[in-house]
Amino acid sequence: MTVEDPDVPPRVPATRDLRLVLPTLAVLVATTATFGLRPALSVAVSVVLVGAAVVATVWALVGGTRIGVDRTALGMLTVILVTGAVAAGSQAARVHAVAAHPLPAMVGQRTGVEGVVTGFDRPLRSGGVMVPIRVEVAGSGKNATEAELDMVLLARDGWRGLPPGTRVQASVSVLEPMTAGDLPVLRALTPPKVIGEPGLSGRLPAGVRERFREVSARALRGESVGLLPSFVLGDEGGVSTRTRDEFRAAGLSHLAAVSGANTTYVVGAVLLSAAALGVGRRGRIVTAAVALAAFVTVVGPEPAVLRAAGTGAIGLAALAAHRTGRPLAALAAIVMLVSVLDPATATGAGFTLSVAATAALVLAARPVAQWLRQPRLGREWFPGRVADVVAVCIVAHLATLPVLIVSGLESGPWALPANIAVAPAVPMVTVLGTLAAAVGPVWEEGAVLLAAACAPALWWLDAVAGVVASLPGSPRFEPAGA
Amino acid sequence: MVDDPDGERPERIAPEEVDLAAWADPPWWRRIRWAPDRLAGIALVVLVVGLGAFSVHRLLSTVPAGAPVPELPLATPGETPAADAARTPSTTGEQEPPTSAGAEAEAAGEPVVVAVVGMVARSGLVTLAPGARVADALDRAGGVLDGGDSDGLNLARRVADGEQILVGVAPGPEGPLGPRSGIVGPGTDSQPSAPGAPQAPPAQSGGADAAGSPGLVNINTADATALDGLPGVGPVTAASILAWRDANGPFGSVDQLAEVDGIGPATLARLRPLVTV
Repeated sequence: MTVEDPDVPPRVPATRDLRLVLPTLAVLVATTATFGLRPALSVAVSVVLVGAAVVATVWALVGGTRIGVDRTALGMLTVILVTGAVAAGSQAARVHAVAAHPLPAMVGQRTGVEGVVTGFDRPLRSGGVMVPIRVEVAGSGKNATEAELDMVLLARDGWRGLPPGTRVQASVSVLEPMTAGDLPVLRALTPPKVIGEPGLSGRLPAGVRERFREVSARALRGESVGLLPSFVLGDEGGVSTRTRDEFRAAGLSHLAAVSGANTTYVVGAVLLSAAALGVGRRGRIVTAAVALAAFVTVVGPEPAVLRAAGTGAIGLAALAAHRTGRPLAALAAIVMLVSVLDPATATGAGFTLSVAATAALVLAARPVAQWLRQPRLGREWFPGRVADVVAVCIVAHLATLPVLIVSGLESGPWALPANIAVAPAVPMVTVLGTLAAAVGPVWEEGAVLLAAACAPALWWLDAVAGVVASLPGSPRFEPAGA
Repeated sequence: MVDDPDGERPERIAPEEVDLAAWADPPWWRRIRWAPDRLAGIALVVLVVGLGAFSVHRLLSTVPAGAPVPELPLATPGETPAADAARTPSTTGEQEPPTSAGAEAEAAGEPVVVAVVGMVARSGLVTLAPGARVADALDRAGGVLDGGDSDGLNLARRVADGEQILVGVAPGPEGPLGPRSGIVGPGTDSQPSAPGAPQAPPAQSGGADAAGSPGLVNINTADATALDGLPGVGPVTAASILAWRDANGPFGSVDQLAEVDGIGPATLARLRPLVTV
């Protein structure tokens, strides 16, 4: 696991706290394994696991000492079995709920739906948009059934810019799921009929986004106008298809969406600046928590943001409780929480990518950086900071590669060098841009100045993406509409 | 615990353990804490089970509870279902389902077929037991819709084979909005249907003098012929529209035509100015 050289005096890492990791792995395995199973089968798995847990407990209590089996191991086994059983049961409930919903059985048909928009729309290559929607009533007229299900709706006209929380009615056709075993996708046949305005929690983020687009348009020129909102708030509406393709070919598309890194930068920047301003410890934690909550509200509950916000919140709680942060334990806790509460998100590509990258960074970034820093062939190739940046890029790239390939999102062969090249620009854009987005609603001139300060970094990002996408070997994407 | 406003707590390591050699001694796998102690383990299990119970409850609470609408009772000879009074907006005239079993039995004969059109959930032919009343015919047609005029019909009247029952629009405060209700006998030919004349007013259901919006075809009441006359709507699509109405009830909006097989965005755009609900 750790790369250690006998010549270097061992840097003693703190005791690794893996107490939560094994139960979390059990939860992950159970959630993934029962994803496609019929509910009855998953329940059976769950029951078997609980039975095994009971046996293990009884064994530990009664016969453990006599037979000489480690009681701790038996206790651990019990914990693992029970958490796995809970995960399987939760997954069974999800599969049952999906199967009982009328829409998955209506693939290829047209129907009416009523629901609530749950997030901001994202542009598609075809020119349409993708709207996350929680269907609450499925069917038309007297066939309308109340049934809740989170789905994705593909649409063209009239669906842009609906704030989350908007209640809509529309006629849709139910399309085949994108991947087998997944939920079907809806395609809107009509513009939405808005029957309920969003609450403040939807209008406020929409207002911040709207204002930030204006700020970006005033402060920047060319492609950067659309890129800044996309990097900072995940608002991809202003990015041209060509630029999006370039970023994807260059393996930089994770930057154009809001990821866990954004969350980390935001919280880190708030903590650091609060400390610099002499804010007390408690004040710093409260400020950071408020910033975290505000950020998540504005960007919407993307899986990666959810992951990062969860770990960040746990980290802040640990800080507040005078504990040293245990990133791996925090990650394990949030994975367990999400897997049990929302199995569909937990098995999604976005969440998996985020978790894989974070786990790899926590475990391997420091050893790899140390390894890179060592002098070879008589000279030092990677001085301090550079080694850190390169290590982070390598580790994150390798950790996410399998997930990307499995979900068909893999980028070109130049992703790693491209990510290393843009690494210095990303925190700058994120921190300055987020600050601009935050002050935008109250002080537009200041926001414009801050956004303008991002211009060189944005130019660099765009240039790297353009150059890398034109290198031989980079994938070419068909023009939209082909 | 002492408050530490600067957050600069020293590491909680006993001084004698800072010795590197002592620290480096156990291999890395010995320095890993794998298992929670007993209390933490029990707490974790309780927490996870609680979370799981909450999650399962939440996921299962979204499961729809049974059929959306109770099945309408089927009329079988000798037993006429009671008129569904709750379906009609006005509660005055239609409360009497006076068909006693005895009356039914003596009127045994051929079942009667009548056409029920207009503001009912399912326009079309209904087959009734002999001796059935107008109320039964309306009931079989899915009931009178909101805004339908049931007061203009004598609900207690026995229906005769071949009749057409037209349920019109209830008069609003400004007077009649549409065709009045009425019953047309089997001999009366009141169908000046004009296929192939797209702009003709909906010449259906005997109420050709639709006062409300002349020229607009009401997709909730129009029959196949009238629908067929619309641009982009052929016999197949007209049948699809009728089938949709049969399955789902009346259209809530013109846009809902998009849910009918065979009507694409272009057809819908052409139809929008020509139809109403």
